[in-house]
Amino acid sequence: MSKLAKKKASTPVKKKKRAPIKQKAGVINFTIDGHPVQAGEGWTILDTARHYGFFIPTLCYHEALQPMGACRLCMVEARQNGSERLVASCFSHPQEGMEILLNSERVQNGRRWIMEMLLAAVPNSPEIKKMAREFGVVSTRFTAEDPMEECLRCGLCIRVCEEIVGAKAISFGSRGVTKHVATPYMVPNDACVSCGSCVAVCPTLAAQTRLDKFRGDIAQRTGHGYAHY
Amino acid sequence: MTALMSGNGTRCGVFLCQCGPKIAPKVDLPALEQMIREELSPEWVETLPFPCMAPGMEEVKRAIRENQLDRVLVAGCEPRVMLRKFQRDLRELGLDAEQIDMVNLRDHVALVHAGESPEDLARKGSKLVAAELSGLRAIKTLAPQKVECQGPVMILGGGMATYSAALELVRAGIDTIISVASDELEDEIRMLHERYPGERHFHGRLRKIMREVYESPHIRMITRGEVEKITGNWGDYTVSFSAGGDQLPQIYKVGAVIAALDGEMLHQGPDFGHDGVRVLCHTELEEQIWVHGVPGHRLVFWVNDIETSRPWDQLSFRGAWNLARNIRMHNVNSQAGILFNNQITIPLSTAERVQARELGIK
Repeated sequence: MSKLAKKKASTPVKKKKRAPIKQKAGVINFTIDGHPVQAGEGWTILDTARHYGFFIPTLCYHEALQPMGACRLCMVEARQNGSERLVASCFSHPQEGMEILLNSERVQNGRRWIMEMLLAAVPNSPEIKKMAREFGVVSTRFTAEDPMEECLRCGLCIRVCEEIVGAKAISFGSRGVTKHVATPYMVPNDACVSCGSCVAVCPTLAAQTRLDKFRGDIAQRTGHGYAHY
Repeated sequence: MTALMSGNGTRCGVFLCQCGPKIAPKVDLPALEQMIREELSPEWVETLPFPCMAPGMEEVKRAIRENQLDRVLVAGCEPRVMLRKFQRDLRELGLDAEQIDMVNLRDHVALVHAGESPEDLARKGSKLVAAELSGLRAIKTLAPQKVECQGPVMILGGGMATYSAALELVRAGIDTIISVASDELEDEIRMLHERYPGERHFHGRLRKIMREVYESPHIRMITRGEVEKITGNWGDYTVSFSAGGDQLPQIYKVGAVIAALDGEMLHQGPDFGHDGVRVLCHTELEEQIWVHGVPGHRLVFWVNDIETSRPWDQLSFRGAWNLARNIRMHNVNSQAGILFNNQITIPLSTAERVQARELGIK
């Protein structure tokens, strides 16, 4: 441990009216924007940042699901032993003595690029436009292929359907630039239980308009206008 | 109610979630924590930034262990998505899924009220927490009891549900007895249309299920008459079938009984003009189509379940619709209409009604 890290580790952590985490073994000391913080075993950079009240924007992250790192919006700058790199904070774990910067020039630049790409990928989403404005991005240099597109392919709906509901009614169809959320063979199936969890977690509400494509015509499937027999 | 408010012998913990900017600035969480502590007196109340994330979950587990909590209530976001995570992560502490519950403070309190003060929202939150906490306290944990189940499982019925249930059991390697009309698979398959008229397009799937059941080493088929008596409890049932006449009833000792009793097909009597030539029942028409092909004349399907006081009008209508549609689609010279009592709710989708108009089915 370096002298600097030792000094920071010995500095008492200022906490906001909550019981301190009594974590003895496996504690990792590092800094977020210059503030010394402690992470427990298995905590990600995002876990630690939120615990200490720091804000990191996210789109494809949901607390109930395994992180996927699809949107790259939660990128932070990690500095250690002279190296500097951008890492996705939702699934990156901190290391002893690491310096994390949440709003460095490099991070802000990266976020602006991501927002520009998102504006081109999902031009019809008011949520993305609002978020982009918050980062000072109002236009994009990329070409929007489909002006009506709302789905940013973050995969939250697919993960919630598999991990929480257990239905596995939807998945990604195609790969690469043509990747999109679909049912197997693009045919509506009766694995969908119409629970609406995909709509609940969707950051752009794109799942709302796609739900009928997933579950098909309920009346055709069941002989009446509701989902279950 | 008093017992519930005082705890009812349970040890409850309430964890309030700040949820970043979504709950904490809108709801007065310190006031809510105070209200819960004073009015509901749970064994533990705590406000955390994110109980659902790794640091918060560690704190929740620590509080449960140190305070020996056996009921956990998290006031945060929607249980539809989040409750499963708490149930999964807290299982290692010996808490069952039913001992954990959630209140949706974010969607039901913080995000739906515009212009209300944080104190008012805290008051609403405390009411929701009180309701959920009463429910949690009312739940009594019971020690699981083990009952030995000896012997095979008997499925009574003989229809589609029987075969589906049997398939699940034989795939799991459980010995199963089913009572069927004939123990010859081919006979059973040949008689399918009599049992499920108008559903011929599903027979292929059912045939596959029946064949797998029939070929399983765990299946035993019996062709007995009416069930006379079922006695016993789970694990030790005695089922007796009447053998007819003055013969002794057939008795089977089984571990479990599944009643898979579908609606039974009733054949048309001489009422309503049935003569087997001009006025046919559903199965006879299907037999004719199967043997002589699709008829090219005018047909009227009469769904008379209401007149004969049978409860299967929806099924009959679907059967009549399937046959009428197939006849019209396969023979352009045919004409088809469905006559039904106006008390029947027509079980056709919008797309099917459009198709009926296109095919000219009246």
